[in-house]
Amino acid sequence: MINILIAIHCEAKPLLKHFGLKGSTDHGPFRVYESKELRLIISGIGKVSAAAAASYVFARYDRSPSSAWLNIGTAGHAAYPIGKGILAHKITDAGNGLSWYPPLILKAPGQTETVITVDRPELEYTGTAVYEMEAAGFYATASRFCTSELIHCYKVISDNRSRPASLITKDFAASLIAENIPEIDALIQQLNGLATKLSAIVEEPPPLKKMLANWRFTTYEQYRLRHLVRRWCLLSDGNINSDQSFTHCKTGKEVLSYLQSVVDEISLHSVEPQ
Amino acid sequence: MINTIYIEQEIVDHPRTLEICARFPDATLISCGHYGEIFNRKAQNFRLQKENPAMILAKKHNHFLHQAPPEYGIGGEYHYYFSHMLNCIYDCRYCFLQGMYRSANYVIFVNYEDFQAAMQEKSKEHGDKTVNFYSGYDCDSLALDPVTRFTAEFLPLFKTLPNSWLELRTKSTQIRGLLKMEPVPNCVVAFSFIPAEPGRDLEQGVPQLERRLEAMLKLCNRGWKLGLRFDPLIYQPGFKKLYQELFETIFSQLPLAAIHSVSLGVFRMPDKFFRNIVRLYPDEKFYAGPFSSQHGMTSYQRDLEQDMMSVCATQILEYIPKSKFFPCDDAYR
Repeated sequence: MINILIAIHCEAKPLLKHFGLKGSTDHGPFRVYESKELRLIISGIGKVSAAAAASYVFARYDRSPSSAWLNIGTAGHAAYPIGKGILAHKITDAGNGLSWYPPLILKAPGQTETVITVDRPELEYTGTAVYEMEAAGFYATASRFCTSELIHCYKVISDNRSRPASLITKDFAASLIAENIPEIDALIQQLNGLATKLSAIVEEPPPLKKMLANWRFTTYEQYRLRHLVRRWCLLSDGNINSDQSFTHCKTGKEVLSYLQSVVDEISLHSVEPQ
Repeated sequence: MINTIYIEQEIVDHPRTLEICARFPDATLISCGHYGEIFNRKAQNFRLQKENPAMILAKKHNHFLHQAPPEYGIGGEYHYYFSHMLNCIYDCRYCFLQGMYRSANYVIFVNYEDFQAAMQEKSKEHGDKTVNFYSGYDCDSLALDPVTRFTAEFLPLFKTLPNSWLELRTKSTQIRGLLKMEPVPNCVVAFSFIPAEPGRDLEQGVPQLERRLEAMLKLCNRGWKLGLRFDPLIYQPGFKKLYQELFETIFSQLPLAAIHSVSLGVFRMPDKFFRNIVRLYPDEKFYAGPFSSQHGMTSYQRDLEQDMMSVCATQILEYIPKSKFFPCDDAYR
C-alpha cells in the first residue's frame, strides 16, 4: 500500500481521476480516498496539518511497516521553470533547522533538490532550495511508522521569481500536478516495488498463525516460537507439516521444547546456504 | 556506482573531498552538518540501502585508534584498529557490519592526516615495542582504494615508523596501487577466505577465490608480505573436506616465505548484532544454523566451535610453522 498525502484538494484532483481513487465512507477529520493499492489523504496546508494527517492514516488505516508514504504538492523556487517536478533529497524544517535525508535507493524520475519547509509562503526565494509548507512535518512523522527508504516528497514548481505565488489558481495547481503524472507514476511504481520487497521480508512463516491458534503461549514464548518456526521452515526448505509433527504436544511449552529439539537436530545437517 | 554523495559542510573544500567527488561527476552532491544525521538515524533498512548505497564524506574528530583485543593479534605487543571508512562494498551475509550499522552507506573520513598523527603519537608512546595497526575491521581496506587512495596516503607513513606494522585486510583484488609502489616491509596484505561453496552464496560481489589468489601471487612476486585470514570459519555439513580443499588450494600456490601470518577464528558476533541481522534477513538460511549465545556473543554451539577450530588448526599446521599461526582462541596456539 502507498499512502499519498496532499495539502489541498485541487492538487489531488488529477490523481484521484488518474488512479481511480474512491472517497472513503469514513467521516473523519480528513478526506481520504482509496483504491486497492493507494490511499490519498487531504491534509490541509502546513507542517502541523501534514504531521496530523500522516498520524491519522497510520492510526486509523495502515500500521504496516512495509507501506510506503509519499507527499505530493506544489512548491516555489527562485529559478526553476514552472511545472518542473522535484524529488526531495534533503528536507529542512526552517522553523527549527532540523534536516532529514530521504535515502535515494530508487531512481529519481526527475531532478532531486533540497526542500525547505516554511511556516509562511516564501516570496523572496532566497538560496537554491525549493520552498513549500508540508514536507518536514510529513517526513518527521512518517519516519516513525516505517523505514525512511519508503518515504519520499515530490514537489512540482508552481511559482518562481518571474511568476509569483499570488498567480496560482486552483485550476493551475491541478494542471501542474496533472502534467507530472508520468513522473509520479514512475515514483509510485518504484515505491511499490520496494514496499513489496519489504513486505515479503517481514512476512511471518506460514505455520506460525496455526500454532498460535492451537496452543497458548506467553509473550516471551511467542517470541521464541516465532524464532524457532522461522528456523524450522528455513532448515526444512518449507517441507514441513505442522499438523502431524505436534500431535503429541498438549501445551505451548511442550511445543517449544519439541520444536527446539527438532531444530537443533536438523541445523547440524542442513545449513548449506541458499 | 555512486549516485549520491553527502558531504559534511566542514570538509566540503578538503582536497580529498574534491578529489573523490571528481571521480563521480554524475553523482548528486548533498551537503549535511554531521554524517550521523544520515548514517545513525533510526528508521533505516540496511538491506534495502545495500541495493544502492550512497557515499558520505565526513571528518572524524576523535577516537582515531581503538585498542584491538590481543587474541585477534598477529604478534607484537600493542594492537590498535582504525577505520578511515565505515561499511564495505561487498555484501557478505555473515558480516557483523550489517548488524552494527543502521545504514549501508559508505562513510569515508577524509582527514587522513589526523589518523596519521594519532598513529605517529601512539607509535612514539610505545617506544621500541611492536605496535600493530589494523585497517579493515569496519570496511575492506583495498576494495575502494582507487577512490580513497588509502594505501598511497598511509603506507609512506609506515616507512617512518619501523616499530609499527600496518595490516591491510581485504577480499579485494584492487592491488594496482600496491603494485605501483615499493613494498613496505612493515605492511601485511591480509586476505580473508572461506571455501568456495558457501562463499558463492554468502559473499555477494566478492572476487572469486582464484582471482584473489592471483592477486596474492602478484603481490608476493613484488615482495609484499601476505597474510591469510580464515576468519570467520563457516560451518556446513562436510566442512572438514571443504576447508581441507581450501587450505590445499591456497598453500600449494603461495610460497611459505611470503606468508607473514595465518589467523583463524570461528563465526562470532555480539548477540545484538545477530538479532538485528536476523530481523533484516529472516529468509536467510545461514542464520538458522547451529548457533548459540554465550556471554553476549553468538557463535556456533560450543562443541561444534571447538571441533571446527581444532580440525582447521591441525590442517593449517601441516603447511606452516606455529610461529606464523595466530588462532583467535589461545587454546589452539
